[in-house]
Amino acid sequence: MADSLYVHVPFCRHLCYYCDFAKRIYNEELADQYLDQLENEISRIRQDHFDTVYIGGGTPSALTCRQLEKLFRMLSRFTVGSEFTFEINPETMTLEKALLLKKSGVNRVSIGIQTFDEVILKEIGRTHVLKDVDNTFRYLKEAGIENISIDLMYGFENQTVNQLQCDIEKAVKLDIKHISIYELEIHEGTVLGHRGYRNCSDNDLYLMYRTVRYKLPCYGFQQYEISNFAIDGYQSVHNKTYWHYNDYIGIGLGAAGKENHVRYENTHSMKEYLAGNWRKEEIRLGVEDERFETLMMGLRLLEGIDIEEYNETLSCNILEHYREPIEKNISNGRLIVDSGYLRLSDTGIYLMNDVLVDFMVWL
Amino acid sequence: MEQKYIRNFSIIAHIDHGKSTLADRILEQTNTVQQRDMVSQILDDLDLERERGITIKLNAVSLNYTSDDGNTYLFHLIDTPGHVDFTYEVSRSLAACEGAVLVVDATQGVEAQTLANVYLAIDNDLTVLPVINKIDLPSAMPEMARHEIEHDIGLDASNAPLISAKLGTGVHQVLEDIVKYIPAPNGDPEAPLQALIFDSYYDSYRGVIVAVRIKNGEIKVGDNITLMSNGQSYQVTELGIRSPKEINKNKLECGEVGWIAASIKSVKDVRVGDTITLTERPCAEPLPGYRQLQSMVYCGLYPTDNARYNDLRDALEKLQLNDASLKFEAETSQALGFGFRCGFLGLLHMDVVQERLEREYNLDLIATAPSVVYEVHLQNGDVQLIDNPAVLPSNQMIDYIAEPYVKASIMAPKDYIGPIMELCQNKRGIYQDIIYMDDSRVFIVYELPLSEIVFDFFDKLKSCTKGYASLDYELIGYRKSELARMDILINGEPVDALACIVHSKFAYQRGSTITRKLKEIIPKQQFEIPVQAAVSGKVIARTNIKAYRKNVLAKCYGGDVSRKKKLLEKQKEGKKRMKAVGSVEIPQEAFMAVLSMDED
Repeated sequence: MADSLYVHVPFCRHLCYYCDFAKRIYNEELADQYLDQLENEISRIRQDHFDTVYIGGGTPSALTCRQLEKLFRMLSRFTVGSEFTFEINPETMTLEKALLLKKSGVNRVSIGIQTFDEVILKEIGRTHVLKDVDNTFRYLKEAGIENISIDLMYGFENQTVNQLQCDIEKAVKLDIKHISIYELEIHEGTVLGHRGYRNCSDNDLYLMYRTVRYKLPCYGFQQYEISNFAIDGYQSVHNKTYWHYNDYIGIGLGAAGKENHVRYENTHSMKEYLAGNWRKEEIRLGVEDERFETLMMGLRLLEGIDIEEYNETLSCNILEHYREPIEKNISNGRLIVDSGYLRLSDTGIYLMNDVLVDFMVWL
Repeated sequence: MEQKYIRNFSIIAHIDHGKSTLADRILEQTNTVQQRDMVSQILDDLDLERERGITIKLNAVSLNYTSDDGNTYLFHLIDTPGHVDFTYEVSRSLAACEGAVLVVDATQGVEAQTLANVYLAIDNDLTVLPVINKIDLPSAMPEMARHEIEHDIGLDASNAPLISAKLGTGVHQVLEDIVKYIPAPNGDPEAPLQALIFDSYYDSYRGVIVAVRIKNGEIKVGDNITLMSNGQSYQVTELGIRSPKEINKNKLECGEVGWIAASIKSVKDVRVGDTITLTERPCAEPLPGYRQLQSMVYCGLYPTDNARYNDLRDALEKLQLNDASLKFEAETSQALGFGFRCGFLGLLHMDVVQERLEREYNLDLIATAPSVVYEVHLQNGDVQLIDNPAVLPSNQMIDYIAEPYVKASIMAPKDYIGPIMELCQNKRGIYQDIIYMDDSRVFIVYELPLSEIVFDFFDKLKSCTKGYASLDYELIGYRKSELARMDILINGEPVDALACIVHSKFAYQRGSTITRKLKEIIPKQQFEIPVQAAVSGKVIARTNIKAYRKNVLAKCYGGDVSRKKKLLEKQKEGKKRMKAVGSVEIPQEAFMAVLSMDED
């Protein structure tokens, strides 16, 4: 039984220049066909309960109310244990949609804000303006959805550490419970990649991340993962399924899942997907794959990995199995074993990839 | 075959002037090779040669030609390598001939390489027949080429055939001219055997196959033979000619060119230029001109993966079977682990060997910067030959260092005199001569340290003359120079594989360029790394590689596992390709940084 279900809605009103997810410009007819196919995929799922459901994109809020109603009707066969999240882009939000979300059982939304700097928003192809953000919050409040998370980014080409501080100060004034904040990644095949857009300097990226880690807790947002901060009691249950590397099902274009020691990914081709050829690849995970991947995901959590649980699930003694890299990284101050948990130290967090590569080289 | 019906000749030409194409046409027109069997440019055996359009291994083909005079002649076409590294081999294969066909490209005219080889031919008393090639091209200027041959080389070109080797035009006249003008061999069939070795290659079934020209006497299967340079004796098991496939015969007669197999185990025993004689009835004197080959350029070759050290040794041994001029011995570097110090005839030879190791033996190699052989004169009067800067004795022990000098001849359009002279001056050149060949071209002669040529001279020359200059050089001896070892220190530790020997005048400049390059190439690590260049313990240049402080994946959710893991794999691979020097990891390119010194 998988703990979580991810549903991908690959439509957007506009494409952001940095995005490398599976997405298409919204088209009503195509979206209808897509939902039909999604229904087929849902009908294959052999369980009726999930602890969490997450509808992400693309832009799920780009769908019309009629289409959203259809989507929620399709999902209504599942009971949701704790968290039902829906992703929103401010410019596509209406009061009607907010009320529909509430009615359909959604109890958490995640809003893509990225930055409050309108010059940068334009630079990265975001079409919302700050008024849209205000409106979205108004609609959600009226609908009674209070568990709100926002996405922010930093590391834009000409951004300064000061500008990022302004963003943080604006963000924490919003009525929100959770912040995900990511360094901008520039991928090949995106508009930014094509234009030769660059991150700000390496040193500034470091300073910005440090700023984020020290500033947000001052406003009550405690860091619980590399890029995630929450008010007490509002950590994302859904995302923790990933970081605990429990089983999750992914449906829709380009979605990924992991069930019964198989990691899989759906096709990114709309044509293939609509033809019913959803699955692109399946990788059967060997025991060493799972041991490493569990580590790679688990160390992202600040609390770290529950050693006893790890040993039991993966039938090995982690401290023995990875003795050399663990000892090396404890001695250089990047890893800590404490109260039954293996976790990154405060400096280790900045250099997590080096730690992971040590584990990889070891095998 | 009576000697008067034998013609032995080579074709000499600058690279790309059409030597191999003409050879192909000659084989076709004498029906030696049927057209349908023609692989373009049959004399170039190795793939690598065909790709680079240059000939490395020598080869000889026998062919029968029925002339317009009604007689059938036996031609031996002896191929020569076409690069400055192989001058000695060229001269030995020319010594196997009585004549040479000089191919001049009607679009390019005479070039430095052409001159060098023509002079070699003339030194060997060959009759040189000029032919003007590529007359089918719209840009051909045959009269200009004719003028240059007469003016620059001093050969009569009034009757030089105008040909297109590509189309076959004029090739018949070339064949007739060979019969008419190239002298027949005039050895003494009754004299004791004197056979000139001009090539050899290894055959795993029969041992070394030796290519020879019978100068005097004759040789038969079963004869006991002696190699005169080392006195070793063997019994001839097989001999014959090539056409171009091997054809076995019972004997090779006076004036002929062919091959001999005598169960010789190693090409090292068979030296180009040596004389073969009969053990029972030896000749009095070896043929003149024999010289032992010397490596001009050395570099360290290391497997990227230390576990492949034995594979590299096996590969070098196999290459050496066919290439006696390749030298190697084991060496260890703190930075690079176990590898080999290899000696080459020149830069091209080095490139070719490296490329063959990587391509044919599937090895990933790190090559250190090439070095020449220095003569180190010690305080106590001893002289050491040093081919690896890392093992140079300490400064206190050294009286002085001498380095090899070459006479470099550069031919170029006269518009480039300025840049060429500036380049030569910057490379410590000593001006010798400048000859105006005609209205448009000059011949510039400088004496230059070989180390500067080895470094990046040729690339610089090409770029400052838009590719129009051609270069030839010959070793002229050792000269005392103001040289010192420059150490490169990374994080305070000298890296042996990066040490180089520099002239004091250029030490500062070279030091700052290398440190700057290394700063670009060595990735940031988790601590700041000083990079220093030092001469005699004194730091002359320094930069710092700043530490990186963040290396963490911003995002990793359920859909990212595959991709993010691949990203980590990539970081892991990157790390594997680095060589750890102390606590610093240095990528392979760093060891080549001392090579490319573009001041960008």
